[in-house]
Amino acid sequence: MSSETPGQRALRELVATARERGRKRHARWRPGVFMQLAESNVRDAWGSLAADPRREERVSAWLDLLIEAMGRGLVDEFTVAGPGSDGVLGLLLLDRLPRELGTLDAARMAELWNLGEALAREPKWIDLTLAQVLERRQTTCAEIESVLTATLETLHAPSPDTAPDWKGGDTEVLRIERWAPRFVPGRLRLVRPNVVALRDRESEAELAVSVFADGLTCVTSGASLPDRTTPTSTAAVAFVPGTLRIEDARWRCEGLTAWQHVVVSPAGFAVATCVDSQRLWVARAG
Amino acid sequence: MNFAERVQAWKQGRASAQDGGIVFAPWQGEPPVEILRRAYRWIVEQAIVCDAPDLILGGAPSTRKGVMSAGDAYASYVLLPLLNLVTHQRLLIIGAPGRGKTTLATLMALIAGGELAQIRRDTQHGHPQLTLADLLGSPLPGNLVEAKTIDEVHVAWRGWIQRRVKIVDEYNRIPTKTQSALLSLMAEGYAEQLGHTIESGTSAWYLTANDDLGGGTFQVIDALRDRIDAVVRAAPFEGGQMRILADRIAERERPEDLVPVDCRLTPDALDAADLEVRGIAIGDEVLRALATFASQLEFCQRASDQLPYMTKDTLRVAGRRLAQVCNEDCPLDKREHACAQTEGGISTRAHISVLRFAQALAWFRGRTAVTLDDVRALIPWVLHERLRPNTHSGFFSEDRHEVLLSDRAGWITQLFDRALALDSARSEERERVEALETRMPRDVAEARALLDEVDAARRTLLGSEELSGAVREDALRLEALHRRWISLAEGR
Repeated sequence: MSSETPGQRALRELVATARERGRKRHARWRPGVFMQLAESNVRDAWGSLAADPRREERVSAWLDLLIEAMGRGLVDEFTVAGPGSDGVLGLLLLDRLPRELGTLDAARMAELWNLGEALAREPKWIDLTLAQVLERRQTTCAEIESVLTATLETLHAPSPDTAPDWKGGDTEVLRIERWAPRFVPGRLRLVRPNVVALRDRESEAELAVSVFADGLTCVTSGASLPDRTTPTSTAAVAFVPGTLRIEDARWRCEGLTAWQHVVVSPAGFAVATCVDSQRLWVARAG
Repeated sequence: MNFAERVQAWKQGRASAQDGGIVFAPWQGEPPVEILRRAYRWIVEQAIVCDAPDLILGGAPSTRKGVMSAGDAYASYVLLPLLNLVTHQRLLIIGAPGRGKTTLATLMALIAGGELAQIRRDTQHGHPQLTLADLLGSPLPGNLVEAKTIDEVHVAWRGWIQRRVKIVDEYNRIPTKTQSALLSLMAEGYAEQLGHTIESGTSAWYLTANDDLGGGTFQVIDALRDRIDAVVRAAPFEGGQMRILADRIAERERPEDLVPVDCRLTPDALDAADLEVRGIAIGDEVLRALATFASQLEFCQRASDQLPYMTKDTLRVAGRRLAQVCNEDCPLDKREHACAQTEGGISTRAHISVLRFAQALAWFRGRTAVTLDDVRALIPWVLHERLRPNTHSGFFSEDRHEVLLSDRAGWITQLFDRALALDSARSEERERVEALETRMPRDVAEARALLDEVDAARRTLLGSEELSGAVREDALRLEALHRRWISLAEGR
């Protein structure tokens, strides 16, 4: 202890106080997980704020959030291992907040917590999709409200009044094993104009495939996806190995040798699966 | 839908900044059962540390010959006190000194939202000099001197009387006279001093005793004993607790200091839980099982020549004990029939206790209705102090049964299983009676025909089967049927 710097001592005391607070507040308190965080994420954040006169206040407020999240079972060893995999709150707490702690005060952190907690009460696939969008768009804490608003508008968007102008081109190929190693794509159904439910061929499991106009496609667990479907496009669809044709436009579909299922959305995209393949082909109108 | 507004609204939640830190409002709308389940896990894993489940549902307990089978399993020592919080009954915690009985009761008061210092002040400690004034309160001396009439006397009641959780430590050390005052409070919900009364309100009682078989300074009066709805035994010390004990010594901590905030229930949540528990359904199968169990325990063929009086209550009123009549003159096999094993039967109050705790257990397990498993798991703890074994019974003279004289919970479970097995062995006869009970004659002729069938069934029943508790119960049901339809059959 004698070689401890004042900063190290301050952090140790901060962590000890937080640990005690967590234990008194929550029955599900996991001291092991908390210490794992304290010795990695918290220590790194503390170090990065060395020149910040409000360092102690910022880290202490962040620890308040971590304590609550752990106590409510929203953060565990699995979340710690892969932030974002368990919704917006996990991503904010373990990734965005520590990264931007120097720009955040307690009031803003409380707002972000409230956002994350509210989204945790939404259907699971929505929370997971939003988390993935925030992560892949590298959204900063300052941009979160606008990105969430835009994403929610896309996920809930009604069918457009006008038919898309199908132009053809290359398809996006998604390897589903990245998200679900044992998932074999089977049936497809359009649950929202921009959201496709993808059913596993071997089980009842579903994935949510959300297609955004700017080229981003997100795949998440389909937990709590709605049962009802939305009308698909009436455009004429045809297939020859390696090529998908919608109306008069053609898309190159490398590896799509035996078309299994395809769904065409009036929002201007099509998703196709192939027999015994874990790949998914997404063709956009143009 | 305007998502921009929605996102803005979401920013107003439980968390808010305060003094540079962040504070959280309590989680609204969390079901009380979730809080209670969390409290259970916290106590067995971190506070009392006694995760040696003995309340098994759908399985069998751990024995020397095998491990327990799959099924829900709980430590009765922790679960029943928690269920007592939401059923507002009277629970006795027994066990040797130093086993954490008072600690457990204190934890319950803390979970019910109490403050530790207040709980300690409110805990009643039984001792031979405990007076009525100590227990209930007394007039202030100045007021007593100035009062002209008894109505002007103002009793300064003890605060604990109106607490939701009431703890009486070592209740069997309380003098008999003071026990009577405690009885009024426990049984009737009020206390009386100098012509003034005070209501105790909704209460969950926790009494402790080193043992309940004479270890106390005073004999516990029977009426007080019968008011106890359930009993739990202090958990044995397990080797796995050593690390936790060592840590607590190092940190100078006691479990009472550590009850997490999210394990605490507000009075409103306790009221809501009580309502939910009362809404748990109790099916006919459960009521039928309890009825047959009670009828078999209450039965004594040798108590009277008349069927209605063939009960242990008849013996008790006459000042006789079962052992005096349960001998070779009774033709029933003492090793088979449950009636030979107990000195008495089950009171109505005990039935209410079983049903209340069974509802609470089903609620705790997330069920909407009580199952036979719930009743079977609970019945030893509800009847623990109410059933006394007839130690002279031939049943206990068998070597393999002797152990049941010391393991009362195991004995009562065995008794319940035996009664139900005997009942199911004669299910055809029982169904015949039930079929007659469902008949609704529409005229005199049909009523006469039904009466003939009822009389014939009764003759067959009493003529062909040996007279046991179950047979007596069916015979009495047939007699009741006869009384119900005789007026119609005779054209009156």
